[in-house]
This record gives sequence, structure tokens and C-alpha cells, in this order.
Amino acid sequence: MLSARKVGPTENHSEGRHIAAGSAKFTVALVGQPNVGKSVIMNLLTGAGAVVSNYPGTTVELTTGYLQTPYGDIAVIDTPGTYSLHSDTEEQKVAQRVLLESNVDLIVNVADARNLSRNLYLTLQLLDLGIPVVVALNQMDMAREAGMIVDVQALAEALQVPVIPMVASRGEGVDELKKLIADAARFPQSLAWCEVKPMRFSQEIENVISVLQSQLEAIIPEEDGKHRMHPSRALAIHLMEHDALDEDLFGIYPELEHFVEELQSKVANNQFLCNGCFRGCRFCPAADALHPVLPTCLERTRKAKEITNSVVRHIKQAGAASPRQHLERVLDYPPTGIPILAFIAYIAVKVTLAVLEFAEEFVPVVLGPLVGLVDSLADALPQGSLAEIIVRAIPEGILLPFEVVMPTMLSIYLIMALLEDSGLMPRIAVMMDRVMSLLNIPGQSIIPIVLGFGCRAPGVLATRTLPNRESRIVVSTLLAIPIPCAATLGIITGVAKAFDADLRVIYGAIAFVFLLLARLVGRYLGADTELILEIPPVRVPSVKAVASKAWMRMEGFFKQVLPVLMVTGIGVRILLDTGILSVLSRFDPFSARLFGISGQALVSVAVTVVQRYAAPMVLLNLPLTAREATIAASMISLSLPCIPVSYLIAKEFGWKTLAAVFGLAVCITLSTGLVLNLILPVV
Amino acid sequence: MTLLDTRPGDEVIISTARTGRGAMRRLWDLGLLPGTRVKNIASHPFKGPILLKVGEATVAVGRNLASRIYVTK
Repeated sequence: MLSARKVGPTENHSEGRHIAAGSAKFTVALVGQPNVGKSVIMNLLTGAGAVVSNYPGTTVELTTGYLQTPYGDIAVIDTPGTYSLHSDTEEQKVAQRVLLESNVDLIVNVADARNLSRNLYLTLQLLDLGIPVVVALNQMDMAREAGMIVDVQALAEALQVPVIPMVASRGEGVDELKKLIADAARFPQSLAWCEVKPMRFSQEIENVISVLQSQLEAIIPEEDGKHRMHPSRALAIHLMEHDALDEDLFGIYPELEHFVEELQSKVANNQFLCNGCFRGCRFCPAADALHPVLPTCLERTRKAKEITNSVVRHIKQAGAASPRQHLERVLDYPPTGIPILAFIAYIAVKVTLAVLEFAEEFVPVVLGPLVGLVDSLADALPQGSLAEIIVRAIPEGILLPFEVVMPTMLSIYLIMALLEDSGLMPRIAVMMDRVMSLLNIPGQSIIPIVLGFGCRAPGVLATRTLPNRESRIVVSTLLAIPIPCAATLGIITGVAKAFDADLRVIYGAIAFVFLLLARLVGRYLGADTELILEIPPVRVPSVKAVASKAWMRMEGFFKQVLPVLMVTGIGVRILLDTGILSVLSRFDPFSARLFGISGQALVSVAVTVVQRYAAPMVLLNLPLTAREATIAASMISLSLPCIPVSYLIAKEFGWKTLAAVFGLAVCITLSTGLVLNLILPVV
Repeated sequence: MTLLDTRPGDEVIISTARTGRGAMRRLWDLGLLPGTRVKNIASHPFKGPILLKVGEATVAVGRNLASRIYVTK
């Protein structure tokens, strides 16, 4: 993606299509803070055809779609919600990079009328980019409800961009927005508002900017057409403010790195002075810990406040609080909110489990004929041949994903979308924050952890709702090793019943490892569990939005999880039936001494790597004592993650993280066996 | 006093925050700037987070961070 340097403006355009694929000649980016109704507007603009994809190399979801106009299709990219363009979080980085790399022709800045000054901070940053901006001022109804009257005309004049008042949840203002976008696409040059006027800072800062700007223009040749993507003014401001984006920028413009270093050394030797600003930008000799807020950020905030004060009028709230406000008061008051939210979370888990149970009965009935067909085919093949084994393995590989994994994921995604869109999810996170902070993980982790008790794969995916990478890795490690998924619980209860194993020991071992891992991994990674989270208003979620959100996420299941599950299911069957794994029984003496179980039982532990469901197939066919069964079941419960989960961890966090998780899992499962063998009395 | 010393119902004005640049930016992102009037609308029990009304938005702040945000009545 970052090869933009080598291509001219036209090829650049096709690079941008990496994100917004297709034939559209005009690209619109929706940019806005979280909870401003951006995805609703996306839905209204592009309808059902939108596609969710991960931004290359990240876990941030990016939705792309097309707006149909009489003048041709217009590509619309919905960027992740971001409070500002400082690239501090993954979402912000992606939003930033989309704007830099995708050749966006028009930015639709969705803003929340109720929190105008905070939203205008982002708007002012967007104006620096030199791309035409339209402000979609959403949630006008809620602003009115809160006693605020926004003078839309005055706001448009202050920003010198069109402002469209909207109530997206009721579709108000959408036609105006569509018309404006179509106009911009049709007459890109001739519209006055397409000429963007960036915010002016105070003279002292402008002086610094202009010095930086002239230096930048000298090192970045204009013929690359890059000034269209990075106006030198925006670049200068970035350099004063940014830390995290530098790496990307330096990748595109290697000269920049030298430039920054040179300038900093000049400043250090008093050869370059910022004409007396001295308020702590990165080139400032006065920059230190006493200036945690950069001068440009400070002035931008002041400007945003100033504009807000001049365009928003507060009137006395008419009448009593609305039902929504009442509900929020009840939910946000801990004595009433906590029990209600706990009950909702309980229902969510119950529903998921009920769906799972229903699917386990229902899906085999539907797929039964297929299995029967395959069986008769297998009967026709010579017994014991590879062909027969493969033919028998296929229905297992198909049934399992559809029977267990797909229904769980579907219900989980529906429930997650419901909780997110209704504004309940962040409230549950706040409620759980204290409990979870004992484990060094943020409150939101409750969702992936609970999901993990169904199936860990969607649990790992659900860690995307966590605020930072470190926390995501901690929770994913917990999901990969100690948290027992439905399949693991099935093994445990099945084995316990068959051999009279001690369930207290097994669950005790799991709980112990869970607590130990949470504390240790969290501490090792230094996960930042500092909670600072916006609590959105409670809303009745739109059925359409929830359904499309859940459906778009399910696509990932069909494309990524399903093929992996099928292949591993078939692979396990082959390994078992061809007897390859029985070679391991040679380790009998070794295994019995160390772990107190037979080599064959150790095989079952190894089998869980590929497929948890396969473990009981091995274990239940062995003559085990209660003690052996207890040890084997504990080891299985704490062994390597299954392949789908391993795959997801590698995909989300990289192979190094996966290797670390594997290493940990091997250590844990072996030490569990060792320790239990030592402490459990031999009967 | 810090945000941690406020009780539900208290309205205070933020004066400073003693945090690093990263946490500071997140505070700024959510509008928790010096000079801003905020209202404590709930303190979760057992040292849980504090819910603040910032303008029309509600923001949850963990105790740890709250203890580093200085406020005046």
C-alpha cells in the first residue's frame, strides 16, 4: 500500500482501488467520531451491497460500497470511527491512511450535533488535508431534545463548507447529502466549496508551519503528484504533532526522516528558531513533559469551542425528560443498572447456548441425506483404503462447522451487533471493568471470554472490541489455552462420566491456569487497562443495521473459518484411521512415569491440537483408571489451541504471537500433567 | 482535589491532568480539556469507574486515571 511514491497520479488512483475496488471514478470517505451514526448513513447511501474487509495488515474493519447516481457509481468508504486524526490507535491510523492513500475525492464528515465542539476538532483537522469536505450534522433530533439549537447556516459559514442537518435514523437529510455528493462528482472543479480553506493558526505557529512547508516542498518533488495526497501544509502540521504516523510517512518519503533529524539538530544548535512560538511542538527546544499538549492541538480545540459557542444556542429544556433519558438514568445508576445489565448479559449467553443446542439437533437432520449418500459411497469403496477414509471424513468435516461453529457465530454476531447498536455493550464493559481489572484486562473482555465458552474462534474475533493490542493478546491467550469451549466441556464431562474422573481437580486446574495466565501475560505485555470510554446514548437498534452488520461479519466465517475447519476435520480422520498417531504409543514408559498416563492417552492430548472433538474418540476407547482420566482430561483442557483458533491468532496478531502461545500451551499442558501426577494420590 | 474525590451529583471544572501524552490525547479526544465543566453522574462500587457527563456526552473514566485528573469546584 505504501508504494505510492513510485506511481504517478493516475496509477495512484488505481492503487486506491485496493480499498474501493471497481470502476467508480469518484471516491467518498465517510469520516466521523464513534457513535455519530456513521454506519447508518453508510447504509442509507450504499444499501445492501457494501462489503466489510479488514484494512490490509490490521484488524480494523473497513466497509466499502457504491452510491448509484445518474452520473455513474460513486465509491463510498466507511472509515473506522475516530475522535481525531492523531494516529494513536489502530482505528485512527487506518482512518488516517485511508485518507492519505485512497485518493479520496470528497470527505463526508459525520458529526454529532450534541457534541459539536468535540466533533469540530476532527472537522478542522480534515480541512487541513486539502480534500473537499461536507459536514453531515447528524442527531439533530437528540440535540433538540437536549435543548440545543444549532445554526446550520452560521456553521457552514464559519467552516466554509456545506453543512447538512440530518436525522439519519429517520432518513432525514439523506437526499440532500446524496445530491451534494453527486454534484461534487459531476463538477469537481467548478463548485466553490470544493476549494478547501484550512484553519489558520496564530501567527507564531503559522510562521513555523511556513518554514517547515518551504523545506518540505524542496524535498518532495511536485511531479509525483503527491501534493494532492499530502498537502505540504498538512504534512508540516503532522510533523509538528505526530509520532505514530511518522513511520508510514518516512516509508513514502525517505527524505523526510533526514529532514526531521536535521531540523532537530539545527534547533539544538540554535541554527533554526521557530520565531518565538516555543510552545512545545516536536521541533521546539522548549518541548518537554510540561507541555503534554501541542500548540496546534490547543489552538484547534479553542477554535472548535469558539465556533461552537457562536452557532449553538441553548434553550430551556421543554417539559420532562424523554423516555430514553429516563432509561439511561436507570442503566447508568449502578444499583439499578448493574442487575439489569447482568441480566441482559445472562440472557445473551443463554440465547447463544440455546441456538447451539437447537442447531445440534436441527442441522444433522438437514444434512442427513448428504451424509447417507457419502456413507453409501464409502461402502462401495474397498475397506481401509485411503479413498474410503477420505470419503468418510468429508461429512465430519462439513457437519461439525455447520452444526456447532456456524450457529454459534451467527447468534454471537447477531447478539454482539444488537448490544453494540443499542448502546448496551459499553455499559456492560463499564460494569465489568472492576472485576476484569483484577485480571489485568479491560471490562469489555467479558464478551469474548463468555463467547469462548461456546467456541473460542468467534471469541478471538470478538477481541476486536478491546481497546488495545496488548489486551487483545492477553484475552486471546486466555481463550487459546485455559478457557474451555463447548467442545472441551463436552470432552471433560464425557470422560469424567466414563471413567469416574475427578471434575473438581480438572476445573480447579483450569481456573488456576486462567488466573495465573491473566496476571502473568498481562503484566509481561504491560497491557494498559486504563479505562476511558464514551458511553453512547441508548438506542433502539435498527433491525436492518443489525442484520447487515451480523451478515457482513459472517462472510468472514465462510471465507476464513469454514475452509480451515473442513480441512482439519478431514485431516484428523485420516490421522486416526491410518494409524499414524498410534506410533506415539512407543512413548508409553516415558509418559507413564512423567504424567501417570499411557502413551495412547498422551496421543489424545496431541490430537486436540488438530481437533478437540477428536480427543474423546481416542480417549474413550482406552482402558483408563479414574486417576489417569483426570490427568488426561486436565491436560487436554489446557493444551494447544485448535487449528481454527491458531489460525485466527496468527492472522490477527502475527506468527510470533502464535508461536509464543504455542510455547506457553506446551509448557502448561506438560506441567499440568507433571504436577497432577505428583500431587494426586495413587489409588 | 481530583476527579476521584467527587461524589455523584458534583459538578466540577477540570484544571489539569498529570498523564503522559497518550492518555492526554485520549482525554482531549473525549473533550475532557482543562476548563471543561463535567458532572459526576455515577461512581461504580468497589472502586469501579466513574461516569462523567461532558457536555451532552457520557464518558467512563477508570479510578486510576481519575486520580490523576485535577479539578476545582
